[in-house]
Amino acid sequence: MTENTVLTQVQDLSAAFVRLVGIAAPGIVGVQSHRSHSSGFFWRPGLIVTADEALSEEGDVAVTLPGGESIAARLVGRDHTTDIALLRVDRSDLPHLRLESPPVPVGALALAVGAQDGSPTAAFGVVSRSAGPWWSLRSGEIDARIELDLRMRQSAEGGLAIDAAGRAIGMTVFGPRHRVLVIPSATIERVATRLEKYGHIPRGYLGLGFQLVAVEGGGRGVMVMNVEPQGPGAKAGVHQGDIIVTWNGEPIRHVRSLLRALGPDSVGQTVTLGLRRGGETKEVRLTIGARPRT
Amino acid sequence: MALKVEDRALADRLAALLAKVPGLRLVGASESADIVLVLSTAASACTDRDVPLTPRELEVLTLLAEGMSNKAIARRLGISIHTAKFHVGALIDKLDAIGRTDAVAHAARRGVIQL
Repeated sequence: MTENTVLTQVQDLSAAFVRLVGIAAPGIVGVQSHRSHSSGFFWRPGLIVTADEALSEEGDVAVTLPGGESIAARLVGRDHTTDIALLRVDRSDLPHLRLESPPVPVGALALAVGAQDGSPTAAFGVVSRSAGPWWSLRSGEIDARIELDLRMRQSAEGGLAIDAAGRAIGMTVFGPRHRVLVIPSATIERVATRLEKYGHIPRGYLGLGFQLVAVEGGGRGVMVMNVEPQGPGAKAGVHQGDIIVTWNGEPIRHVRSLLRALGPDSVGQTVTLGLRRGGETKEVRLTIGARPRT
Repeated sequence: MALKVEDRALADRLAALLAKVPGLRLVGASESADIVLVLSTAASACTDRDVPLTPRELEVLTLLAEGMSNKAIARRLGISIHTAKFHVGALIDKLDAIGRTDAVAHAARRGVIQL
């Protein structure tokens, strides 16, 4: 291989990266909230997805469109468990990139494209981890664990992760120790759709405080340590000191399984709980409530 | 230069803060470095199962596992959002340092979770 061929290949690669940024950039905006600059992207006409963690808790939100025009944005809803926030702007003429869920192999090249002051920003690296679904520290269900080995500027949080084929595979956010994580497309579609419809992500509520215990005679359960007056648990006749050992007949092995059972679709459902009370076995029917908004 | 930090929590906070400084890199034990932070032996002898958490971090851990936002955590504990964010960040880094990212599992072992 001659030196010229190598140089041509490097230039081709460079030009390809430039094209990839060019594909994503028209749909990526800068997001300004109180003392915070981050990125976001058009998900649907007039709707922008951004990183919840980077968005200020209060005050006005504005977005800077490609080219530098700044317009006001309204918060549609935010879900801190999956780090997704949805904004609405009075502009539906701007392009949005379709989110895709192709296989994301470890070692594949990826770009993190954000925006700052009306211009795109880019960082480049490899997919350093690609694994199955996981639960965020705030108990949010994330469809895949994707990490990128790249150094991303603060303002690019909430931008898009782009693969080598120019496909948007998700939103870039910061994880532990400033590592770059991707909130995958499937999670964004699921959560943003609910945010658009309801303005928040409902969660199931029992109104009970639990501690994991080993049950007399073997197995595990969760002991009811406190009962919220008038809560769903109290209404179902659950008392302090009861140990819940089954949920619709399934043994409860850890608190995680309870959290899973209290997802957005659980509100209003009636479940059968198997209890141990004073050594006796008992069943109660409980109608799951909606967790008070915090 | 080596700087010995006896308090593990303090060392973790310093490491977490320094990790975010642009142009500054934390190096491994065998690499040469301009500045070295050294933990006392006693402090570093903790096991995986027993992450040393401050009482405040334990409170924050439980609220995190319940799915609370930084704002809700701040309100519940009577601290500023900024301080809540700081505790959450330190906690995330601490759990990550030992390869654990499951707040619920930790919180459930140590306290009461409101669901």
